[in-house]
Amino acid sequence: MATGNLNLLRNAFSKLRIDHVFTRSLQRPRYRPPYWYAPKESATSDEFLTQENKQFIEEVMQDKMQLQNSLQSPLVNIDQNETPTWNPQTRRVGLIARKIGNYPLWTKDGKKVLTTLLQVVDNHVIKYIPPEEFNPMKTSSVQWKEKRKLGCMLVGSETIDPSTVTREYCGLFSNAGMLPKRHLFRFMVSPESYISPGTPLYATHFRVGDYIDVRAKTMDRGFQGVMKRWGFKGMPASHGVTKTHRRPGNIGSGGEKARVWPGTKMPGHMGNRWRMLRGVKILRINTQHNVIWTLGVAIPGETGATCYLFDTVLPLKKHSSSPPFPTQPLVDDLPLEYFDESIQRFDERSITYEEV
Amino acid sequence: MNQADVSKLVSKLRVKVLPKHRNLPGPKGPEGRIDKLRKTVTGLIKFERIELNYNRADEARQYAERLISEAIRHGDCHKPTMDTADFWLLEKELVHKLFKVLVPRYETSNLSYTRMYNAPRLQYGRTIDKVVLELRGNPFPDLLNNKSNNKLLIQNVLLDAAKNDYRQTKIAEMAKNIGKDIGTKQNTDSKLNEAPEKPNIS
Amino acid sequence: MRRQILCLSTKVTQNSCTKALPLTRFLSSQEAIDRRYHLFTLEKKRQLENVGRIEKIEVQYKGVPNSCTLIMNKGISTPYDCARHLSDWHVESSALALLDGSVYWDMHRPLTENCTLELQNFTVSEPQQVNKAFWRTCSFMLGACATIAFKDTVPVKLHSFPGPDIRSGSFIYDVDLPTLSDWKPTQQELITLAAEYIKLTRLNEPLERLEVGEELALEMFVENEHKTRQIPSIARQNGKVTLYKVGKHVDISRGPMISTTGQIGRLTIASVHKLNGSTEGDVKQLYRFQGVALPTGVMMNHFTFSILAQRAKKLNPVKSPIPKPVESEEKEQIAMKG
Repeated sequence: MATGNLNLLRNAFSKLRIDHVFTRSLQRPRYRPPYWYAPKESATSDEFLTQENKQFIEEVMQDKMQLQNSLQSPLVNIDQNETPTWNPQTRRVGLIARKIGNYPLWTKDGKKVLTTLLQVVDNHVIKYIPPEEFNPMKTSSVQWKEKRKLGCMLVGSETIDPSTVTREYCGLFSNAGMLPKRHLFRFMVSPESYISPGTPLYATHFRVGDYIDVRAKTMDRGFQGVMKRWGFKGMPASHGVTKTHRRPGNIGSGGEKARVWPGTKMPGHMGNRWRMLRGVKILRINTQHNVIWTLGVAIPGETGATCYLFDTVLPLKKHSSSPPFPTQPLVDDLPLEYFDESIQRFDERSITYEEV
Repeated sequence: MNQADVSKLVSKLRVKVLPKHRNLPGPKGPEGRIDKLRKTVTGLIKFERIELNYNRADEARQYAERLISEAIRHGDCHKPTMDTADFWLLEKELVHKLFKVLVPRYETSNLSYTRMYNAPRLQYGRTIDKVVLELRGNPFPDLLNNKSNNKLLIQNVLLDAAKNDYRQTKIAEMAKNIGKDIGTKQNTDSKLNEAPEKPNIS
Repeated sequence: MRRQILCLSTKVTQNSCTKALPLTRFLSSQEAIDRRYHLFTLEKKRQLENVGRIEKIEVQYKGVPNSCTLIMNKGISTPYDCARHLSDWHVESSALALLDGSVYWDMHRPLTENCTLELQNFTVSEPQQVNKAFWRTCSFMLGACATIAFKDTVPVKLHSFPGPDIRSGSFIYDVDLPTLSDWKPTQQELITLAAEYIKLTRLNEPLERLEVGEELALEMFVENEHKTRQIPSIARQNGKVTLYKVGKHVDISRGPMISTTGQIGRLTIASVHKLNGSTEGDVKQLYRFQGVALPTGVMMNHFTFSILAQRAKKLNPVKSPIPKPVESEEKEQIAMKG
C-alpha cells in the first residue's frame, strides 16, 4: 500500500518541475520521493525450484553476507598523517538506528532516569556524492552550484534478501559491492569527512556524554481533538457546563478581520510527522549489539521505528574536541559497555564506608 | 465443575467454522437456505468437484464434513445417521456411495474430507469470490499444478549444476587456504568437517 | 545479384546441383547471407512441389484437452498445423512434437506417415529432450546474433557449436573473427550483444528445417571455409545435410529445435573466451561466445539468475573444435579438488 501511494505521488510529481518542488502550507506534512528513487519491492511468483536448489540459493546469499561482514574496514589501514583533521565546522556522517524500547538507569545520586534504547543495525556507507555533483530536489531556494559546500553520504541499514527486491534497487548497492538494505538515508557531510563506500558504521561513532539530534516520524495518533493536539484547557467537567468539555471554544476575534485566520488551531490529524529532537544526551553504549542509551523517552516514534542520529547543532552542546573522525573503525578489543560518569554502574560499589 | 463432558459426543469438524451461520437469504427464508445447502451437498457427493460462490461453499462444506464424519463414526446400520443421509442427499444412490465408497476412503485419514480452492473470478463485474469445492481423493487430475518436485525442469538442472560447481570451488579454495595459513589450521579443519561433501556428478 | 542467383538456381534445378558456377567476385557477409537465404527458400519450394499428389495421413493426437484424430496432408502438414487445429495455447506453448512416443520431431517439419502425436512444452514430466532442443536453439541463435551484431567491416565466420550440455552452465558458439586477433569484450559490448539477441528473439520467427544434398550445402556455405570442411563428414551418413533457417539466417545443425524464437525468454551473454590453435593449422583461433537462457514463462528472480550468469562466465569445459586440445583452467581445478 505504501508503494502504491508512493507510486501515485511519483506520477503526480513527475508532472511538476523536476528540480524545484512547490509546497503550500507550513503545517501540512510534506512527502516527496527521494532523488534516487527506484521501485523497491519485487513481485514474487511461483518458482518451481526443488528444495535443494532453494537451499543452495540461501547458501549463496549467506556466503555473500558473511563476506560483506568480514570485509576489513578500509579505515583500519589509514595512517595517522593522512587522516583528515576535524574542526568545529565540519559535519560528519550520522547513523540510522531503530528505537527498541525504554529502560531506567540510575545516576550516582540515586535518581532514576528513563532512557530510550536506539539500536544501530548493520549500517554501511553506500555512496558519496561530492558537493559539485549533488543536485537534489529542493523545497526551499535553489542553491548555486558554486555555493554548495556539503557532500551527500548515502547510508543504508539492515541488509535484506535480494530476491525480495527489484533488480534496479539492488543495483544501487551492487555498485558498492553490497547486498541491498532495507533503509537508505542521506547525510549531508563536509567533504573532509569522506568515508569510502562499503565501510561499516557502528554505535561507537558517537561517544558516551555526546549530545545528538534525533530525527524521526512521530507516533501517529490519528484524528485528535484540540486538547490533546494543541494542549487547550477545555472547560470544566461540571458546574452547569452544557455539552462543552473538550471543545476549542472561540476561534475568531471579530472586528475588521472578521474571519477565521488560516492556521487556527483546530482538531485534526496528529502525529506521523518528521520531527527533530535536539540535544539528546547519550548515557551508555553497548558495543556488542550496537545500542545507544539516550536520556529521556521523548524520542519520536513507536518502538521499532527508524530514526536518524546526527551530531547536535546546539551551540552549548556541540563537540568541542574531535570525535572519532570520520568514523570509529572496527577495533577488536573494545569494552562491552561504555557508561557516562554520572551513571551508576551496578558492577561497582555504590556506597563505601571507611573502616574505623 | 460438574458439567457433563460433551466434547466427545460429536466429531470435531476438521475445517474452520464461523461462530454464526450464514443466512444465505432468499425468498423462502431459512427453509430455502437448507434446501440450497442440500442441493450443494448432493452435488458435491455426486460430482466430487464443484465450482460455486464462496459463502454457499463454506456453509455446505461444514454440513458435508459433518455428514461424512457421522457416517464414519456410526456406520450404515445406525438409523439416525441413515435418516440424516436420507435427508441431506436428494439422490438415493448417493447414500449408498456415501457408506460404501466415501467411508472406506476416509476412515483412516485424519485430514479434512473436503478441500476448497480459490477459483478465477470475473474480470469485470461484481467482485464475487468463486471457489472450487472438492472431495479429497477424487479421480480428477490435481488442480494445484505442483511442479516443484520436478528436478528435470531446465531451471532445476541449471541450478543443480551451478550448485555442484559452486561447492567444488569453495572446497578448492579452502584446500588452498589450508596450505597457506598453517597457524590457523585448526579453524579451517573444522570448516571442512562442517562443509557437506558433495559427490562430483556434473 | 538477383540475376546471378536466378542463373544459379535454374542450374541447380536443371542439373540437380552438379557443378557450381565459379564466383566472379568475393562475397561480402551481407550478400552471402542473402544468397544462402534465397537458395534455402528455393530448395524448400522445390521440395514442397516435389510432393506431387496430396495424400492424407491420420495423426492420433494424445493429450490435453481430449485425444482426437486429425486427418493431415502427407509431406506438407506439420505438428504446428496440428496444434493450430487444437488451440492458441497449444500453438504458443508447444516446443517439440513427440511421434509414436519415441521420435522427437520439429514443430515445423512436415509429417510423413500415420503416427501418434504428443505436443511437448517445457513443463512436461520428462522434459530432457525439450531442454536439449532449447539449448541447441539458443546456440543456433547465438550464431545468428554474432553474424549481425558486428559492424560491416568485421567479417564473421561461424565455425560450429557442440551438442547441447545443459549441466555445463552455458550454451556456446565458436566463431572465427579473422580480423580481431585479440578481442576482450567490455561489459557494455556484452550487453549490446544480448540486446541484439533479444531483438532477434522478439521477432518470434519459426525455425524451419530442410534436408539438402551435399553439393547444394557446399554451394550455400561457399564463403565459409570451416563449414565447407565440416559438410562432407556430416553428409557421410546418408548424403544429406540438415539445415535450419530463422528469418534470414541459415545454419547446419543435427537435432530438433524448438518451435519459435519467441519461446526463448530471459537471457544473458555471459562472456567471450579465446580458443587458441596452432599458426600452421587451418584454424588460427576461435572465439567462444557463451550465454545462458531460460524459456519464456519460467519465473526466476534476478538474484538466482545472476548466480547462473556468474557461472556461465567461466570458460565452458566442452572440448574445443580446433584439433589441438588446449589446457584449460577447469582441468587444473579438477586436479586440485583431491
